[in-house]
Amino acid sequence: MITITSLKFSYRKRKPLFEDLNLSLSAGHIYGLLGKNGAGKSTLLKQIAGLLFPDGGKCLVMGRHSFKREPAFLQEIFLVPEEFYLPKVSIRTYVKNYAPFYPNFDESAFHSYLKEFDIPYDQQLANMSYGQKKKVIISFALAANTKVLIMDEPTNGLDIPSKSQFRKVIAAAVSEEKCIVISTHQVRDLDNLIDSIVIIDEHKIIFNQSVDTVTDKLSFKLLHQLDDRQQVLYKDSSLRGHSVILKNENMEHSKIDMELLFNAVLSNRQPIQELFN
Amino acid sequence: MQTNNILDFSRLGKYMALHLSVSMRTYVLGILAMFGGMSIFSVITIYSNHTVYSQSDIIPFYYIGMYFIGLLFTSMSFSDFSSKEKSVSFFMLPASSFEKFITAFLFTSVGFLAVYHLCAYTSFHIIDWGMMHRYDKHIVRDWDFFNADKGHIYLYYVYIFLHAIFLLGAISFNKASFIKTLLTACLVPVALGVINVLFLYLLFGNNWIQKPAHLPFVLVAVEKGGNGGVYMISQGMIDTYIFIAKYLLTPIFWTIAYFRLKDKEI
Repeated sequence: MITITSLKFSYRKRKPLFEDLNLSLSAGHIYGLLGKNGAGKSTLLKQIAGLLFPDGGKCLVMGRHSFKREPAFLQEIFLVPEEFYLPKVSIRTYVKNYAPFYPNFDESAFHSYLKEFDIPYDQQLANMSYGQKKKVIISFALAANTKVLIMDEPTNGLDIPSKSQFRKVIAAAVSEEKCIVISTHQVRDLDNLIDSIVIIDEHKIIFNQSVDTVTDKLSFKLLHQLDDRQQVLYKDSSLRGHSVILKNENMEHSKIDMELLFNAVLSNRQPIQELFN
Repeated sequence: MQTNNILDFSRLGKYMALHLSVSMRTYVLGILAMFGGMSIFSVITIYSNHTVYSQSDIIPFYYIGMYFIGLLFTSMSFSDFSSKEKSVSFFMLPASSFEKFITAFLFTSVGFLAVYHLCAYTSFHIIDWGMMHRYDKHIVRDWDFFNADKGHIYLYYVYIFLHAIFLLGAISFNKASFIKTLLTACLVPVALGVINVLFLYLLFGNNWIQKPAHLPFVLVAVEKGGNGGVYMISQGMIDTYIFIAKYLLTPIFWTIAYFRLKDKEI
């Protein structure tokens, strides 16, 4: 679905951002693109969306070069940026004007997403708060039924109940034909939502695995006391005890702790990467 | 059915409808301001002590208005680029770059000229009615807008050329595009003039007469020395210049503007 090959890109000459970046994302998955601030997440998403052009290499989305921004490509991709624009019209007018550009737009689904988010259909967009507007654009993006859906920090500005509503609607919208990429630095917001994890650090993809593979190879535990015999790959101590990542030698099933994994990959990269190679 | 990625009339129609719907408030306010301004001008003209006898008395205002408002409006046609959020929305909308370009082009050229002339025509008739009411005289229609011999028609050619320049400026400059385009449009002829002077020094040293006996890239008068006299480029080259200026320059700028839009990144 999304194939990035030997991507080179720089905002300034002599200061490359991406050098020989490779990434392949397939349909039927929800990818969590994780990275620290300034790691290059938004730039990567802009490359996929065709808002930035590669200096070298290729960025193909559904077999099309994204930089060409062809309508056939644009009607199958939706980007929910972190900071977005909605015109000063009513939701009804917005849908009337924008929906015809998306051939698979499902108006009844849009209504149900709005209902889930508790947004009245007749409201003026200009009178809404940032969080409410975000819910409208997320609802529209999901109802557009595009094959690729990209969301950059979608949970920013959402209150706690809305974050759980967000997880609910995304989970309901996923299908075999869709590839959803969610970029965030608030990794806990993606708990129980994503099925694949892509970690970007210092402008490189350093980790790209499915959640199932991660839980097959790693075990996430909360220990009250550390045992020297256990080979701890990463630990994070708190008042509750020690959250640890261990090598899953006994094929135990554990629930992935996204934040712990993210910190582990960033701080103890080599042993973790070796496990997956 | 395969999607036409360059031009699809149904999609173009949808895009124009969207553009109109989103910009309606701005356009209505703009038209009201323009019409209001012209009406105030009409009333001042009627009640001032200077009687308007003929069209040629008020025609400068018509041209100044057309150039100023038209070019200002053109340079605002891609004002979305001043904000990152609006730029993303603009580029991610499933319409081709050509459809987005042609919409801006049509609204700022045909659309503007139609509305402007409607306002100017109405305003003219208000003045005419006022003159008839006050002085019992109609305004003499003594201005031929398309007269080529007197050069009137060239005012429209120049407008269309400047429209192309300001459209390119609107795409190239994200903020304050009117001022930046105006400055660039002034600086380019100055730069060309400097290049011309450099060439003249290279060719004739200090012997060429400066003002007013030279026309950049066309004619130069040499004052002294064995090779004194007037040097002029060939008639063929003059004809080529005229042909380029009349038929090529404007479409070239439109084409550059289109490709500039196609290649724009955020």
